[in-house]
Amino acid sequence: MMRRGRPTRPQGSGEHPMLEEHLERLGLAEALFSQAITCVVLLDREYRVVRVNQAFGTQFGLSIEGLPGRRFTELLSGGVMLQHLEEVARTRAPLAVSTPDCRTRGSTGSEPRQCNWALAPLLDDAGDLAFILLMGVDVTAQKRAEKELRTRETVYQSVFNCMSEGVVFQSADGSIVAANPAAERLLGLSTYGMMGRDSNSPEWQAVKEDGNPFPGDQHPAMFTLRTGEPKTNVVMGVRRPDGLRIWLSINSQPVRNPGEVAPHAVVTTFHDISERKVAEERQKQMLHELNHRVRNTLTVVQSIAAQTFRTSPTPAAFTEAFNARLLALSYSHEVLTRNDWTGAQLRELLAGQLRPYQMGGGERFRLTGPDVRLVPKAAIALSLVLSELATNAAKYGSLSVDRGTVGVTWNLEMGADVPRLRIVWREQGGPAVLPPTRRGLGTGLIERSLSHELGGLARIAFNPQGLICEMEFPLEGDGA
Amino acid sequence: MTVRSGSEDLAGLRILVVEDEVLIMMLLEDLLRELGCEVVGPASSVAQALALIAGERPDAAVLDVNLGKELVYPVANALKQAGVPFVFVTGYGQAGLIDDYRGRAAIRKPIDPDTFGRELAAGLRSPAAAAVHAVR
Repeated sequence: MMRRGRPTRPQGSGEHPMLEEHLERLGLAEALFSQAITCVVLLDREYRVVRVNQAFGTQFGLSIEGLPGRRFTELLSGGVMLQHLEEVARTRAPLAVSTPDCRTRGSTGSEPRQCNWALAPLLDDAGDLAFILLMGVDVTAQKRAEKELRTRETVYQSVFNCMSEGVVFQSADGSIVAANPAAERLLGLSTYGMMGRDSNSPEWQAVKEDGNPFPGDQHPAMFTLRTGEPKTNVVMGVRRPDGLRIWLSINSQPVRNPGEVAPHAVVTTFHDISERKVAEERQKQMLHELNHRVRNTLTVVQSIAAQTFRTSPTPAAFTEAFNARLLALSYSHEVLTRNDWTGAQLRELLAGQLRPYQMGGGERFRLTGPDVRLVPKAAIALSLVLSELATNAAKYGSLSVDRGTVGVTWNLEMGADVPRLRIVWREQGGPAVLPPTRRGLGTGLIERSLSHELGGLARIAFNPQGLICEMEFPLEGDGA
Repeated sequence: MTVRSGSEDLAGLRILVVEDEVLIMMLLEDLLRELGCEVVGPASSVAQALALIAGERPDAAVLDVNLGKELVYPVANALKQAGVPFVFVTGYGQAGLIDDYRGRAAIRKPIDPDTFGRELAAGLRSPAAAAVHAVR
């Protein structure tokens, strides 16, 4: 409720009496009264209706013919009350009143109207109250729309606040005017901090996927403002004030007024794809590493072929020896892959390399030793060594006859800092062993693998009762 | 295995080989011997290689980049210091080299025996290989 202005004087107050008279003659007051879409009611000092316009009748579903002479407070409930009229009569000052549930008295089921009323005292020449002029506007629809707008606003605001996607609103010149909490969280900036920036601000340190600078005018928001076209899934890296580089996937949509072509603003939504980028980077590195490993392995195969070729008297001998070595290499990779390339158990490697020579039901192999885990490099090197020993035994040694056996025993010797693994390969029951006339690849490979690759040593003894190969090397831990 | 022309000037050079995998090392040895080179080492670790360099200065070196537990760069640094030309041998190719050695000659694995000698000679001769006068 508020008061405004000074008492309105209908007569004698004009500085242009001629004009007023003129207008009176032209029927201005009558026209205003009868044609106004506002309800207008003139009351006498007993608050009885003197005149009322059609708008009032229409508004409240009353026939205006029967209204003059009736007390206004009997016409409506919840409208202008006696107290309001008395206040105007007492103070002789205009009054504005808003009444939320104004109904026509006596009519059932009529919808309550919200009305804004202006009450103006009309004074006579002596300054006494002559009439009270009431003007009313039905604001029910407007208030309902406002309420709906508020409800919608609340819904949108809560979505805006709760969504995990960042939302930034930029005006036509690109300056940031609003941002949601997710945008603040993702960008590490308050809305206030963002408002000083636009897409061109160097502080973003915006980069494209390839790491090159992302020019501000190519930013999806700026693109959309310029062209009116939306952009989707644009990847951009930005630097947060805390130094963290994050990757965003960005969409932009133009905001237009109805009927206008050029957007007056742009709304940008984005989410953090840093984790995905990290995973992609990791995968790239893994592929790179895999490529290296494959190339290295191919070089090993290349060498196996070349070395085997040099020491093979016939193509058949080459094929046989080459295959044996290739399979040994492949088996070690198989075991390591099974263990995610973290290492391999010595017993598993031994069993695998000897399996092809396990013929018949007899016990040809005796494997005795504790659980020993080998790092990948040692597992591969030792696989090739064991394959050489097994191949040799199958050709010339104990595995070349039915009753021959191979015993492999191993143990760990705890040294000063790293434990040393000692493995003894002992053949029994084979034909009498003669020292080889010329050193083949096998012997050299065994000795050099142990010394060069494993940092240990190998001693091969061609005992007449059976070949004995003693190997030892420091056991590298991988922390497992 | 025949090594083709373009590498005659390598004959007689004493070349340090740093490679941790026995079979690849044996391949490099064979290739170098066929070029008439004398193999120094081979070394399978940075420590072994540095000890060899300190003992007798080789004419040139062939370096595997990834030595399993460690990378070969300390050896490369020592060779650069001593003015000994060298080439890398790596599955990564040139792109896998650290910035200090970007653009250095890098022979890719697997090794093409036909071009190995030429690549090696060119790598040792290239300006980036430094102290080229060591190679005739």
